[in-house]
Amino acid sequence: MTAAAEVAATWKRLCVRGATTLNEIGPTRLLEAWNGAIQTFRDPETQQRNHLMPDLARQVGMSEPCLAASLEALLDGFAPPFSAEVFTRVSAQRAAGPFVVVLAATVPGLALQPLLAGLALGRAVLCKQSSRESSFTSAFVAELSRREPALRGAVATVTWKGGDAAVEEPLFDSSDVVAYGSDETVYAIAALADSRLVAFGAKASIAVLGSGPADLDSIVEGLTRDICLFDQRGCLSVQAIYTEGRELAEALHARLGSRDHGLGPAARTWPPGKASAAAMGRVRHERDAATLLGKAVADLPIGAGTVILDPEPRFVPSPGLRAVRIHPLDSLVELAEALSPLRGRLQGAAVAGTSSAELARISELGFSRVCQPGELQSPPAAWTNGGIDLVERLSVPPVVSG
Amino acid sequence: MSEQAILRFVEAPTEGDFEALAHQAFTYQYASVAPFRTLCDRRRATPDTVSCWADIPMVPTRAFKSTPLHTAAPKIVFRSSGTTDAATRSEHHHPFPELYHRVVERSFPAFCIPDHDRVPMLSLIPTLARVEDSSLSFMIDHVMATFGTDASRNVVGARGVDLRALRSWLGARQREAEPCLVLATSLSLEQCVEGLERLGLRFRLPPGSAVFETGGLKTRSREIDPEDLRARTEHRLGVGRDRTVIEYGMTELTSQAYGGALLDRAHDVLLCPLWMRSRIVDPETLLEAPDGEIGLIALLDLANIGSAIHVLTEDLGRQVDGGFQLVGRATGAELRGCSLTAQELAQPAE
Repeated sequence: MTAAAEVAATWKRLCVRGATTLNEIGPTRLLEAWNGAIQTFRDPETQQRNHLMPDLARQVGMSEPCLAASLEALLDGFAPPFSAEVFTRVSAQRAAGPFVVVLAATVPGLALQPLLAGLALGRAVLCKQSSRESSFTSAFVAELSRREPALRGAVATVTWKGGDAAVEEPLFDSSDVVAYGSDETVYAIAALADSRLVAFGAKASIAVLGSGPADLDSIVEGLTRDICLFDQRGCLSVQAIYTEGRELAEALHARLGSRDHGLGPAARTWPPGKASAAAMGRVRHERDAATLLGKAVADLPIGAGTVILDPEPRFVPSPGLRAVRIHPLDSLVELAEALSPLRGRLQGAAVAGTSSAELARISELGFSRVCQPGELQSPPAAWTNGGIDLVERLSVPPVVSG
Repeated sequence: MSEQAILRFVEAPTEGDFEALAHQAFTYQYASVAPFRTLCDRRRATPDTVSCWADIPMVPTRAFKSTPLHTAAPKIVFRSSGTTDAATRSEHHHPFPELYHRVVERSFPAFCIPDHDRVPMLSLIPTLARVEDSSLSFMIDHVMATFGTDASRNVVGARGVDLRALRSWLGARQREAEPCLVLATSLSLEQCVEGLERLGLRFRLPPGSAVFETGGLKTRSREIDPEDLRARTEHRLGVGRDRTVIEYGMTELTSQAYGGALLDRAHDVLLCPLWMRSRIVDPETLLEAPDGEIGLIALLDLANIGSAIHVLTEDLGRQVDGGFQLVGRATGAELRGCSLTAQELAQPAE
């Protein structure tokens, strides 16, 4: 069977049986199955998780310890009570058709939010996995179906080569699509799905440290986690840190870029994945150019991470591989101007040591997630990723009678 | 040290001592370029401690985007076209344009017209009058003036390649049976071939003709498959890849490396003139990568005496057969996050 025929058959099955199946199972059992599946992959002792990890780590190019910690952080946000919050937001949903989720390979676990939204809304879900990461969603859906066998009629995973017109034109032309991926991918889907496309991408996260009371050690521990999990590939990965005052910036630079604290030990606890020559080359240039300009660059192996103390406030995108710049500001009022290159693309902010007024101002800059250092990578299931309320966007408007 | 010592070496490289000149140039740049001195001091690599040219600290090409680097008052400023990052362009503040000209004179003919003094040339590269800060235009203008015959012509107009002029020139060369040279970037060659395809035209340039092609991996807006382009070029112009000289140059350098197609070497193996040496280095350790392994291309170009002789490029390559092969770039659009490219983030959103 060709990819197009297989996808068409699966889609047809979801169209015919999906809504009825979900309605018959009902929200209570759906939530039970969901929570059980989440717990299966949170528990390091389960056979399902231990079977998944080696393949997944190899596919996404992360070390197993780092991948395990990253997934645990992510799954925490989809466990009780957060999962139930999504269900309680849905009221009187009428039967509706399935939708398609197109997944990127960069960060495993992206499927969780649209899957949960689909179950809560009573809409069947077809997940298109990337050929470079075809493990996590399959394993998770298999576990859901093991716990609630009828779900086989409402949730499915497929893989096809992106851009295959024979598959995509009929599918995207008629369905709602949730897409994660490169802009190229998103634009190609948008050409077919038009306003039915919900696209996620092009966002970055930072940390902001005010001069108020805060424990530097716990901040360093939290930021290390926010930088290292998912090997800094996620839109919730910290790429730059803004501090109020130079003294704090210098102290943080020394601590975060130390071989004994911060990124140094993290490279042993959560070893970085194997980096390509291109990725290493980008970081090498970033480091050496900074050194040449007289900026302090922490003495860490490239693989462990890069910490640059950059007196220039303007945001500079991180080249990846756990590289961050620390920008001291005289006042956090300057933050808006410093982040102007990121206008419309801010995602998360890990914040500490600020007053409540400062925290309010930071929140108004357009972040979809503001939390303490160390919590960025555990967004709750109802998080409005990129400012998009997925449950609302996928809700079918009630029929207006009369 | 003055640029005259380098000039003499460029004129007669076999009579000079590369290592000694490299050390003198290093000493000169250490003394006169403050940011470079900072880098050297942080590395604890100073003229007193460095004895081998390969140990001279490398200036990352990225640094040319952030700060002017020059040993003397610049006479001309070259800027990159911003092909990989439109928001940030490299600037090479060049104090010695006459040395640049001499480098071109001493290297270009050896690789591109080894059997002729002058040949008819067709340039698909804008002149310096059109792109006044382009080092490539600076070079090609000089090549045309020095090594081109009266029949040479630049066919790039305000709206790109002038197909009528192109067709006329190619037809004339085909009739004359005199070897000629087409000078192009990968993108302009693609435009030329596309234009001929649209018009349904094929030419057979005379035996001994060649194509000079530069910028293979740095096209402005789209990927070009080099092998596909060469096959189409052979079909439309009658010049195959065995007569295509790849040039590897950049705004940040004064000298260029060339493919060895006309020297009975593999067309994709890049060779340096005697005053420039290449290494492939491991990006993590900066030590030389084993033969065949991919790393960053590092070049020591003595003719870059006016800025930085030892440059770490953002290009990936591998050492092969007495030269190096270009295999990719270590910059630009890497996926980040859900759909994030560092390149895009450098540009403000609309």
